[in-house]
Amino acid sequence: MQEKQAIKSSPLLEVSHLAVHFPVNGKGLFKRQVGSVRAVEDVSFSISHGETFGLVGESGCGKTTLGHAILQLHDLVGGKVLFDGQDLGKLSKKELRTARKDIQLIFQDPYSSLDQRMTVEQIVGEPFMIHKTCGKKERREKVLELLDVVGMPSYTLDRYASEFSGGQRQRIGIARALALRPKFIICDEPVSALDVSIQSQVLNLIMDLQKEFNLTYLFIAHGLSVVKHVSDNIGVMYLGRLVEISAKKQLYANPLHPYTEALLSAAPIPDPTVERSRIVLRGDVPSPIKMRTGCSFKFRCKYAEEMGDICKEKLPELVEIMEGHHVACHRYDGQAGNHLGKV
Amino acid sequence: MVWLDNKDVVWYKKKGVPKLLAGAVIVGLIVLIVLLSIVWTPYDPNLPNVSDRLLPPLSTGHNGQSYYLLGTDQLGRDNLSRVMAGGQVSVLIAFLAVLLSVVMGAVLGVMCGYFGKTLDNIVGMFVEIQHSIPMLLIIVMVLTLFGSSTVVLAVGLSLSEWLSIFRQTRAKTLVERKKDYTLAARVMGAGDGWIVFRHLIPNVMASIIVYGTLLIGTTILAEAGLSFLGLGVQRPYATWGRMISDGQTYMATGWWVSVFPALAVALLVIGVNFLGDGLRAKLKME
Repeated sequence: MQEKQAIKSSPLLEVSHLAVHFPVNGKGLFKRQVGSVRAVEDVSFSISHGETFGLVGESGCGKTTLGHAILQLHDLVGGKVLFDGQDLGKLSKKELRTARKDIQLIFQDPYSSLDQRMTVEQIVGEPFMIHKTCGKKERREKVLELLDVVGMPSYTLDRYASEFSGGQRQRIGIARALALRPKFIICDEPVSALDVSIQSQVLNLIMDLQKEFNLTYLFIAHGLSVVKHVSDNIGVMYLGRLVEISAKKQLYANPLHPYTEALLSAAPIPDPTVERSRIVLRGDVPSPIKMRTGCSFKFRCKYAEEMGDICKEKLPELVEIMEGHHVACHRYDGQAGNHLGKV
Repeated sequence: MVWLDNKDVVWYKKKGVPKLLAGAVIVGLIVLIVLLSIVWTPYDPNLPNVSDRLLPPLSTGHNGQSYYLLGTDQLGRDNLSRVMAGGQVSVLIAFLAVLLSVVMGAVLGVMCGYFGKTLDNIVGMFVEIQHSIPMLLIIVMVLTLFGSSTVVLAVGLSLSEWLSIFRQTRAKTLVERKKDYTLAARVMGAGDGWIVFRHLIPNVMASIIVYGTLLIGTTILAEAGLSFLGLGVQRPYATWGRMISDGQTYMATGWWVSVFPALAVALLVIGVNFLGDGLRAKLKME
């Protein structure tokens, strides 16, 4: 009895200490493994029912890998993914297939995500074909229904995906993702490949669908401006680690991590008269292959110098500073013995 | 929203049709004539008739009855009958060799491209080794080991040709495998079989069919070359390649002996290439 209640009140998705490494092979005859890319390192967060969790960070920081790792598309080095109380990592291949019905992906690239040799009916109906849930006639009806939901007219049914524009293709992709009635959808930069004029249409569609189908989203984006529109909570990722998690309002009003500050200052403001103080990050993202001690942001952080050695020596942990506001920075975790740390 | 006109759709589907049609007509005609030669030729293509040696085209034989449309060769055999019958070997070998190499190359190519790792490394190693041995050497080796029959020739030629199909299929599969739609299928719950048969093979196959068709032309030429070198199917059976090589000696006195089989080869290769080009234009949906 108690257990049941615990499950009910627990979040839909719980990721704890997730780590994904990719092997780096040498050039020798036997291509020995010489190291590994630490794409995702010790990432923990949770998403509750009906929530949209925005995940931001620059290209190559591991956002997409994290999304795929939740779906168990990569071998995890460590950590686990609890979805609806079920540990996805412990499922057999067959069980995983069934579990994945509840988690679907919306892709960034609307061109490569649709098979160009298939008609719209085949693309959107593919999930039904894979799971053999219904006959041909019923499938057609369901596909029509889905197309209607995403705002595609019914005469597009027999057209090939290549006949549509990016925005329309993205709608087809969304219809496909909805087909199995998932509870959770990972939106992997769903609008970043689209024209600005189409972006808001697709974003609004995604948000409308959330209400209609009671969906939970992990919304991945590389800038804070898109995420601001859709998310409830936001996680900021840098070099494979989550450096800040917070409610949206809190994050925009009071960004704590220096990387979040820089990201925020880079978001365009649609008013040419506003004078902005941009925080321009120095240097490049360090290589994720080398194992380093200390904070991963130390090379580019404007506070690193005044903070002294602690940033070079010790990895800051993600600590809850305020209700629902987590940050991984020595300025706030009280260990620096620095008065700057008080918020 | 602006939708494509039906007109546009029909237009691009029509692209390549003239070539496709021309190719199909040429190839179809040649294949028909060659098939006909199995049951009927004007004269026995292998029966010498010394009194009618090296007669030019459109001439009547010594007995006043035989009429040689394309003349006769150095042994008085009817050139037309020999060109028709010679096609049997050339066409059969070409189609058989291409079929074999497409099946071998495409199956291994898709498997290596999709599953990668150990299988890819092992097959890749064999491919590299075979690639370092000249094609002619392989064929000569196969022919001396197993004797030169039609089947052995086809196998020998396919052994040298499957590499290119394999490489192309593998490369194409690698590209397609990386595309998000395979990932989408996996997330939807599809297994390897579904992804390979429903997505990868249809996407890869179009270019393989086109390439295979073009390969028929190359194979016909290769077979002709082998026959020319005396490595083809043994005498007295006619093949286009050997007819060309035999007729060479009589070029000054009887050009028709080698020119007509050469024309047949050229026509078939052109037809097949038209077919391949047309298919490429038609199958390209992008």
